[in-house]
Amino acid sequence: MATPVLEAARAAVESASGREASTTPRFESLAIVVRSHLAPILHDGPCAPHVRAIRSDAEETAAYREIGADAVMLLSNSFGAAWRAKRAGVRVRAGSALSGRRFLLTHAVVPPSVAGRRAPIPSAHLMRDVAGLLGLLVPDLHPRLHVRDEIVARERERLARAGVDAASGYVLCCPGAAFGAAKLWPPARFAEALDELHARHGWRGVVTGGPGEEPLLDAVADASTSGVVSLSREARDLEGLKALVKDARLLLVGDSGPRWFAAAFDVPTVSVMGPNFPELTASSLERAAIVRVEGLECAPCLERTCPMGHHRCMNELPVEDVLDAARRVLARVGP
Amino acid sequence: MRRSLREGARVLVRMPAWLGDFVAAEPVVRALLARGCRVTVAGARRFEPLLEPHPRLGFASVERGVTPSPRAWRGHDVAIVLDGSWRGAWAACVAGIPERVGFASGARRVLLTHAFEPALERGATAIGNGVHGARPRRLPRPFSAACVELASSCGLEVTDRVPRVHVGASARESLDARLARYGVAADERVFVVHAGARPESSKGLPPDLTAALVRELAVAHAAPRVVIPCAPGEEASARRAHELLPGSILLDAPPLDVSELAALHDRAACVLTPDSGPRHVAHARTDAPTWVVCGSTDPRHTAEHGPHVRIVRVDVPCGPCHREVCPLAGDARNACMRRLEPRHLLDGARSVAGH
Repeated sequence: MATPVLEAARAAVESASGREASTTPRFESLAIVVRSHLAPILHDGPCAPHVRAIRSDAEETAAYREIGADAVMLLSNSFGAAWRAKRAGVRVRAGSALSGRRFLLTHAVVPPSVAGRRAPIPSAHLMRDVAGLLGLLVPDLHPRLHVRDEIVARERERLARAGVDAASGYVLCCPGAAFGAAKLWPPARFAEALDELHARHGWRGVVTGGPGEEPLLDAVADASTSGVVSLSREARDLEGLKALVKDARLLLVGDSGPRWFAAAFDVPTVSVMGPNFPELTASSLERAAIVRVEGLECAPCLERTCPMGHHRCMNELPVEDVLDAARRVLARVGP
Repeated sequence: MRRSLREGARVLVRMPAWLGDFVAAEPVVRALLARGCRVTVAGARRFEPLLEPHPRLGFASVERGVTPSPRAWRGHDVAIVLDGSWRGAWAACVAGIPERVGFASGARRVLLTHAFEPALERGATAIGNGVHGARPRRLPRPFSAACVELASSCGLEVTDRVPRVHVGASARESLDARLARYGVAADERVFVVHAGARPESSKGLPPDLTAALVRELAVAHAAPRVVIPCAPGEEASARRAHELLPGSILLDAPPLDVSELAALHDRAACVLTPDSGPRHVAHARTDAPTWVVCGSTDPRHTAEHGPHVRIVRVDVPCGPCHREVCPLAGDARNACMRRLEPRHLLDGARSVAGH
């Protein structure tokens, strides 16, 4: 979701003609400080040379000092991120005035509110607002990712070994969510949806996910009747996920990161959403459909596990709604 | 609120009075129609042709500075007030519309049932700006994005955020006929240059700068015929630019209406414009390379324009002031425009054109 902002920053430092304001150079160099497990997301793209991977908070502070940063654009809303930037002595610190960190920032965005409470707005909008504080314009919020051909070939080969011909089309399913159990749609429903999509389009289901999600992936595959392939026993990484998403005809996903991979590669997506505000991710919806249970008193609760114990926001979400959303989003994209 | 914008709901949308904001708000109207709502758009009559006709779409005329008649607004379930005046909120309230949604500012807040407080800017002045906005320092951000957020907070998903502007067959034929008089073939692309501006307007492009850029482009590339559209009151600067650009076509008698203006952008090979209404019409109608010169305005207000648009501006200590007429005198007067040089524009021009 942050890639448009990163791209605007990169263009601003790499190309004089890329600057929106043509007379005053804003910055001379760029370092994108990112947790090491997320760094592969930016591999193979124009921002890759600027990536500085860190493994801990201490490394983050040290990185700021070593770089000698004049300004930091905080795209994370956490208190800790702002605290570490201040502690490292970065003179200009721009970010959203959330998490009680306003006093740590030199340039701040106060998000919109309704009746005194923060109004949920797309995170992409907030990031663009923060970039604007540093004089960076982000004209297009559509994310872009890149993956090299050899990774794509590697994943195609892996699928072929599992009996899936990528050229014939497949539906990629990412049923997991690192956030917590509250975001999980029952595996049997995912399986039913994948079976029906196979019946309609002839696209096999392929299910993948992050570390620790193996039982969930297998549960989806075991519940299916159309030969859904689980990659639970394969080595999985974010670069491989990019390739898998890029080749898929449709992504069936919870409210999690792979949705943004699909947006970046213009792949149609159906995302099932439970405890979260849909407004927070309401950008790049051209090829995406969000499916949720409307009218629940308890939703969105933003909790990691259902505090009521019934998990109605997910358990009451019917497969038919997901299939209907898939039909609509595929029709929108065209053949 | 989320349940109010249901299929069949009668929704009144008070559109902004300015052309650019009207166009930027259009995706919300389209999303309401896609939801199955019956929509009445309240706005300036001259902008009505910009909306695609739809069986569930009606129009109520409201002219700038005039308080709408509440009688005409009765019978709606929801009012979405996207203009910035208190009149729209007041009329919706008096008309008895039970749900009234809009941006909170001043007295409007008490007239709305769902008042959306805009984002604020705090701390130091944004880098690149000489001054920050007046208190309470609303954060400059794209109006189109703010409309989407407002709609989203009511449960309305706006999937297609690029505005669309309707062009009728008659407008297209009328424009083609006008251009044909100058020997421009129906399939010929043109360089649209919005050189017109009201006298003393701080937004207007200086004619000599406009001419310098256009000439430079013509040398560097096989630049197409230059067409200078002109709105009422902008004749003087448009004519001056026309004089400086031999062979250009000035469409000032009569000025183009909004439909013809939209049709003109369908034929654009490239566009040069100040940060004014026509740039939004261009955004809605063409992906051609577009250069937008921002003088007194903060480009963050319109920074949702896609990769084919290049913003060109200079940093000045007094801006962005958002004043219609520069209040300064001497060397400081209109510095945001006068300090621009052709090389600044051409840096942006070459990169956006991809040549």
